[in-house]
Amino acid sequence: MPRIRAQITAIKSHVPDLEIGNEVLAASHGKWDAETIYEKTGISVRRVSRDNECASDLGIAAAKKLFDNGDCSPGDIDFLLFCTQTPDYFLPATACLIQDRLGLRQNCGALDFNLGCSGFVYGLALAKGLIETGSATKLLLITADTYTKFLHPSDFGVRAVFGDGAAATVISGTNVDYEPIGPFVFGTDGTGAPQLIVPAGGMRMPPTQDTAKESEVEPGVFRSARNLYMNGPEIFYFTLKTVPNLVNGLLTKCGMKLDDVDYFVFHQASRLVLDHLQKKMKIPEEKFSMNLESCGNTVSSAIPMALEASLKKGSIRQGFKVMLVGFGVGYSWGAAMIQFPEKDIL
Amino acid sequence: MDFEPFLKELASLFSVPPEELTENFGLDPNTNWDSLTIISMMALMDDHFEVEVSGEQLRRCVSVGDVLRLIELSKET
Repeated sequence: MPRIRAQITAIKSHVPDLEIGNEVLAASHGKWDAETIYEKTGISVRRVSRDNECASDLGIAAAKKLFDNGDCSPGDIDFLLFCTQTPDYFLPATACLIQDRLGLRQNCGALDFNLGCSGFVYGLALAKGLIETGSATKLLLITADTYTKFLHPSDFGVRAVFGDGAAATVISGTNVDYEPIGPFVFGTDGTGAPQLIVPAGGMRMPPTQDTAKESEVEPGVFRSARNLYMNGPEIFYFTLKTVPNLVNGLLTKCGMKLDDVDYFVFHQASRLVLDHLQKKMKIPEEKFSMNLESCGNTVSSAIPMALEASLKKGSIRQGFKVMLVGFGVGYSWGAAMIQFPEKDIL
Repeated sequence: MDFEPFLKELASLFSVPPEELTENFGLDPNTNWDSLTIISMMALMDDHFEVEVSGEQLRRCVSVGDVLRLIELSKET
C-alpha cells in the first residue's frame, strides 16, 4: 500500500565567482608547484566568498536557481532546514533570515543545524522524519558554508583543500511503493573535536585581543585561535577507521552487497582521501563520484554538489540506488541509501 | 617483509632518486614532511601492508627506518 514517502525532487548549487587557482597557491607556498597541488588534491580552483558574501547569500542564490528553473516556487515550501557552520549571527537563526529573503510563507517552519561534512546526510534524515510524519509536505534543505573566512592566508594545507559553496535541495512527499530516502546509519565521536576546530569566537573562548594573536605553528604557517585548525593526518586516520565500517553497516541494514549499489557519493574531502577509500573498499571507479576539480571541498555542500553533477553528467540515472557517505568535523558521520525514481523527475 | 615496492613509492613521494631513500632518510621540514605527505604515507602503508597508523604515531618518526619499524610493530600486534 503506497504511503507518503520523502523524495529528493531537485538540487541546485551555487559557488562564489572569486577563484583561487593552483598557480596562486604555489606562489605563496614555495614548496609545491601547481601541478603537484592538483595531483594531491584533485582541485584546480576553489571558490572563495568575498568579505560581504555570507553562507546565507550563497544558499539563497542556490535556492533562487530552483525557483527560476520552475523546480518549485517559494509558496510551495512549508519547511526550511539550513545547515551551516558559518551562520550570519549567533542569533537569530539564519534560517529565519532566509525565510524572509526568499519570500517563503510565514506558516513555514525554519531552523538551523550545525554540522559540516556529514550535514547533508543528517539533513535528509530530518527531512524524511518531518515529511513522513506529516509535519511537512515540501521541504527546502539548504547547505552552505564559507570556511575560507576562517583560514589563515599562510595555512597552505587547508587553503589548498577548502572552498565555499552552497546547495539547495527540494525534498517532497510523494506517493510511491518504495523507499526513496533511507535507511540511514549514523555515528558520533566527540573526542575528535580538537582535530578540526575554530577554537575562538563562541562562548567557550569569546573573541578578545588574545584570540587574535597569531603564532608560527609550523615553519611559515601562522594561526590565531580564530582560525580554523585541521589535523589532517588524524582526520585521515579517523576516516580509515570509520568509513569502511560505515559503508558495510549500511549495506547490512539494507540487505545489499556492494555490487548492488549503482553509485557512491562520498563526502568530497580530497582526491587523496577519495582515491584511497575507493581502492581500499574495491568500489569500481566508474561508480564513484569525484567532484573536486572546480570547487574544492565545500564541506556540507560537497555531497549535494557531487549529486547534482553526477545527475547532470548521467552517471546517476533513473531508478539508481545511490549510497551517500558523509564524514568529518565533530567527529560526525552518517550514510544514507537513496533511490531515484524510474521516471526522470530531476 | 618485502619493503622494496613501498620504498620505491616513498622515493617518488619525496621526489628523490630511489637510491637516496634509505632507512636513514630524515623526516623533517627539509624533506617536505608536512601534513599532506604524512597522509600520503598513511595511504601507502595501508595499500602495501594493510596497517592503519595514527598521524601522531607517524609524527614521532624521524627517519624512514622508524616508519619501517612502525609497520613491523603494527603487523605484529
